[in-house]
Amino acid sequence: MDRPTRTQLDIWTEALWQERLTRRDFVRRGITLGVASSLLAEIVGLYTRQVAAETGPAPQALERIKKEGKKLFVYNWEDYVHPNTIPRFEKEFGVKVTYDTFPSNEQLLAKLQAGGAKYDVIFPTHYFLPIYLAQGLLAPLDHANLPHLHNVFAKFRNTPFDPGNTYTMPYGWGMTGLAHNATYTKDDPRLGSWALVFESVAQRYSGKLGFTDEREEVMAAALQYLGHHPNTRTKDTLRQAGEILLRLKPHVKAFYPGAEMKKALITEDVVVAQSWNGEAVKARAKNPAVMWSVPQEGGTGWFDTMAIPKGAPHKFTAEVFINYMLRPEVAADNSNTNGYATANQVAVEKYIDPQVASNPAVYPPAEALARVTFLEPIPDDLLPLYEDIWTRILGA
Amino acid sequence: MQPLRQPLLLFLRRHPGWTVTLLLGPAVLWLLVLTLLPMGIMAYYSVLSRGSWGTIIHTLTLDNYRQVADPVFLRILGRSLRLALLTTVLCLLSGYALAYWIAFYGGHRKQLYSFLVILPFWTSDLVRLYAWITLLADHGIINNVLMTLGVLQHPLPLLYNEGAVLLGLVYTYLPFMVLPLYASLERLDRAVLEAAADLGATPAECFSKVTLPLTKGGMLSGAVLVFVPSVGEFLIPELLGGAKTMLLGKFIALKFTGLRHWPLGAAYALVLIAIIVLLLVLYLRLGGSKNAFQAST
Repeated sequence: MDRPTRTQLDIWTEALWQERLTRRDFVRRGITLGVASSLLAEIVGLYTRQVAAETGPAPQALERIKKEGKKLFVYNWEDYVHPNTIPRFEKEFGVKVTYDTFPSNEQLLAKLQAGGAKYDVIFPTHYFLPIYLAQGLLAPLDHANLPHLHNVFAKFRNTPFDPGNTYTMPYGWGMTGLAHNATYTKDDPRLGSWALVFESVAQRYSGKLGFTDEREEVMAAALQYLGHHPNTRTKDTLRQAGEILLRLKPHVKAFYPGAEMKKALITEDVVVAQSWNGEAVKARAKNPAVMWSVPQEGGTGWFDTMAIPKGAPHKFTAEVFINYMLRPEVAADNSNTNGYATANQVAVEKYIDPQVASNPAVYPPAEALARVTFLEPIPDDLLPLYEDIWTRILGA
Repeated sequence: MQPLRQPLLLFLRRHPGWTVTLLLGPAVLWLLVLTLLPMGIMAYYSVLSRGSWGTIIHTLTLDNYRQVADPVFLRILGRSLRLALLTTVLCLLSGYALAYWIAFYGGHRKQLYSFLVILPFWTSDLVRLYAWITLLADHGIINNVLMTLGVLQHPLPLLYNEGAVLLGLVYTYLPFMVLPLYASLERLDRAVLEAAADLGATPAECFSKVTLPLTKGGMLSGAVLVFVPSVGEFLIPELLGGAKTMLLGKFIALKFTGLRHWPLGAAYALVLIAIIVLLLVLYLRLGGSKNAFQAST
């Protein structure tokens, strides 16, 4: 096995699994504290929300927002916030929000690198942060405007990707694993394994196989199927994974960008897929046959952050917005609808819909989490190899 | 403007050379700012170097052009040219029929019909391509109707293949073929056709020996307008091809986004432009017309 030496990231992710509030903990805590305490929390929550609504934002803050023009340009992933999140912010702070979405990290980065697109808040994924920092694309955050950072799980704060949270605030996290449609996959012995994807060639799911279009994640799935570490840096191993994907390609329906996977799963155009958990969770709400799990060989994990591009025209308003997104109630609303877990500890403990909190595809139990590896940025010297493999797969 | 008119006319009478300058000025400025300047910037980027994490280093080098002779690039270039050529031929065949019908049988509704040709441009092409996805998907409208009627047992794989990409290309670029063809057919002198008929030409001969040669200009300009954007198309293969049918647009985009090597991407883009210009020059020579951009003769 070519498991690379333990990096800072490995240590960090292991700590993440050990410390995380598991589902069992969640239930146990719920029972011991009893209904009374949750009622109490609910009352306190209602009370504080009411107080916030009555007192409203500080007048100095409103003054600064006014000075910036009461405008905010947000660039986020598709389907990533509760439908009320943006309107409520607009109402509370009197800001007109322009909300655009992107389907991939590459597109977000390219838009920012090109300049000209004046976004105030963006949502990059952790393994892209070294690029943003190296290219100096982000503005340092004023922590005085971001008191709600304390609501976030300790393990999502002060990560090796942005020590001290100088540039980014944690938003949510998710996993890439195996989605399948139970109507088509029932009594398949390969269920629960990447073999369902990689050995289904010319058999049951040819032409009904879907992949994400994130190069790093597609490669990771092939590596995990072959029994390798998804962050492996061994060139021969990477080429081997590329070969497997190249052979599989004629049977692949499509490489779906962002939220497109959800639609394909709902309509059953795709019945076996490498998919983000949240897309499968949202698809399941429309088509109950859709399942998602972390395969036995392992899945990959990622967390998304909120950041402000350098030269953003409404920086203070952006910080007010990020702080608003860090409110437990808002974070819980978002996680309740987007199918992904929030990084907000208070939200998880108090405000998440119990049905979502107990959904193993959103907040997985510890044993499933133990199989998830967080992706690391691809080092520069390996990027040409990754690119060559990916171009060959897509161009074949 | 009115008070300036008199002195301006006086000035031009004294300095006749300025008339040309003033008339051509806006167009030249347009070309400089919107075509040559961006190309210049791209040419400059294409000789820069890549630093760590995709930064751009302002050291001049020709290395990027040395990397261009990549067999994968040549293969994808071949596929792009083949698909663009097919698109052009299909657009020419279907576009000619449509333009001919509007010009000769459109009657008083000609204006309406030619307006309908450009109507799709009123919506974003993204929206129109998503409409095609809804139509062509395995459980899309076409397959659902055919399966409900019992024509099909299993859905036809209409989406996410080269055929879907070709369909998208023809659909998107057809108006660019119809409009110049319509313009040249519309201006075709009907007396010439009558004369040919009077002299004993059959309708087929009239068409092949009179109409076709006289509308060659429209065909040439339509072909150029369809072929050039098809070669570099990015969005259609991405959406209707499921990112599986890679054309040059995606190949070059990946140099920017995947490899994060902007100078190399710029070099590839310039090489592509050079190849297309070369092909156009050859094509116009072989087409035997120096007046390709005149809609009619």
